[in-house]
Amino acid sequence: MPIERSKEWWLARIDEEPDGPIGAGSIAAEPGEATSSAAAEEGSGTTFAEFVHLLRRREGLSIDEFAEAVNIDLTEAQAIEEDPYYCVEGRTVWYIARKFNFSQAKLNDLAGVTVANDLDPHVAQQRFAARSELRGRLSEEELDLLNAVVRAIQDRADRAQA
Amino acid sequence: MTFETAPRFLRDLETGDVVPADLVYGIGLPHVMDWHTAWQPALGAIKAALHEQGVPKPEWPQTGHWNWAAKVAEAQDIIGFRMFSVTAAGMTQALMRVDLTKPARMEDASGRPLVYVDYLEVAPWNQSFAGTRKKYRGAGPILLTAAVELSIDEGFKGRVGLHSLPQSESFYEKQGMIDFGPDAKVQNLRYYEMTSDGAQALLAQE
Amino acid sequence: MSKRTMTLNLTEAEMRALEVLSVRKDLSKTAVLRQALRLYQMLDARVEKGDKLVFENDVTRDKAELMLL
Repeated sequence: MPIERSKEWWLARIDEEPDGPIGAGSIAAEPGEATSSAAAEEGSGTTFAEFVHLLRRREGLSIDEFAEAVNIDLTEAQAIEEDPYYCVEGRTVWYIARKFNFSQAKLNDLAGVTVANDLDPHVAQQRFAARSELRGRLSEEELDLLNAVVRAIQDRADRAQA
Repeated sequence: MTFETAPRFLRDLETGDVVPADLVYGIGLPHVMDWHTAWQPALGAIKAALHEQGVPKPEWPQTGHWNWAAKVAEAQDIIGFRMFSVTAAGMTQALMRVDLTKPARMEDASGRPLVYVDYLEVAPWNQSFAGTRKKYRGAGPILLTAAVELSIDEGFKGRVGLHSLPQSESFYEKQGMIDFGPDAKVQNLRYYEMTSDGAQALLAQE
Repeated sequence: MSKRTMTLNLTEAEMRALEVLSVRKDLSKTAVLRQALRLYQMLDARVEKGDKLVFENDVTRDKAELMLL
């Protein structure tokens, strides 16, 4: 177990970190993942629903405030984030791109790749759940959820390559 | 069983404040979900912005296609892997998986085991690209120190090895790791090793 | 991480092998055995996935498959 170190020791260490990004590990494409260049293009498996959800949270907007901001119905805003089979309309993507200054082409790609959001309903409900207590070994249920996420990501990458 | 944690700190570069953080001795479902629901969308947004700006690809984030859900699933119950995460402000800020079964390359320790960093990634908002600033500084030193301490705990004398992403090479050099040069077997990434002397120097109390 | 204790019976030859490895790897005997367990489990998991364990001679490039039980 680690030796107790002073806060001052840690502050000196963390301030040694340079401005650039820190990372390590093989960057080879792995089974089930898109190749690095394809991954760079498609934003590494992001779903449109997740992107919109994060965007909304960052803007500090409720779902109805977001719907109003991008000029869509509340039911559509809810469907984008919550309905795994919802197909987002081009018009909606245009509104979101314009409101938040994103490239329409890029956002179209993102929405297009995930036209049918491929996370199953069980995962969709779980994924925005509050953080649970940290646990050591995953329970059977957690492992199922984890495997569903893994499968969804792999399936998406396979379709992108097909 | 819950994961053990140890208190650490990060520097918030927007405010200059020191924020409390935790080194977690494991990667659990909440961390994987943070990767899936927060890291990936943020990375997508960064890449879209970089593309818009016409930034050349070598300057783009070089991680992000790592599937942490798969890496954690693969490592479940495999005692040769250990995993770590860094959390702060209610969010996972960095992840690391290490392998205890790889040998050192340094001549005086050749064939002896070391802690090999399989993958180390910080959250997209903690990386800086083409003018954007990182949010938190410090996850890199926290995780590298954790790897060195694990190496000492396991009797490996502080030896750590890793293949650096090109944008991180200067960090590992500054930490005292020895550069073995590009490794043709690993996409020509430079391989670095921390010797036991280097580990002692890194951990020395000031 | 909590630890548990096990008593191990080894033959003379096994104990000698353990001692030699302990010196070569600069590890305690306990650490050698823990490392052996990690390696065995890791290799077993990979073979289970369908990978083959192969030795390759660096000079001749001859390959020999290792059958892992």
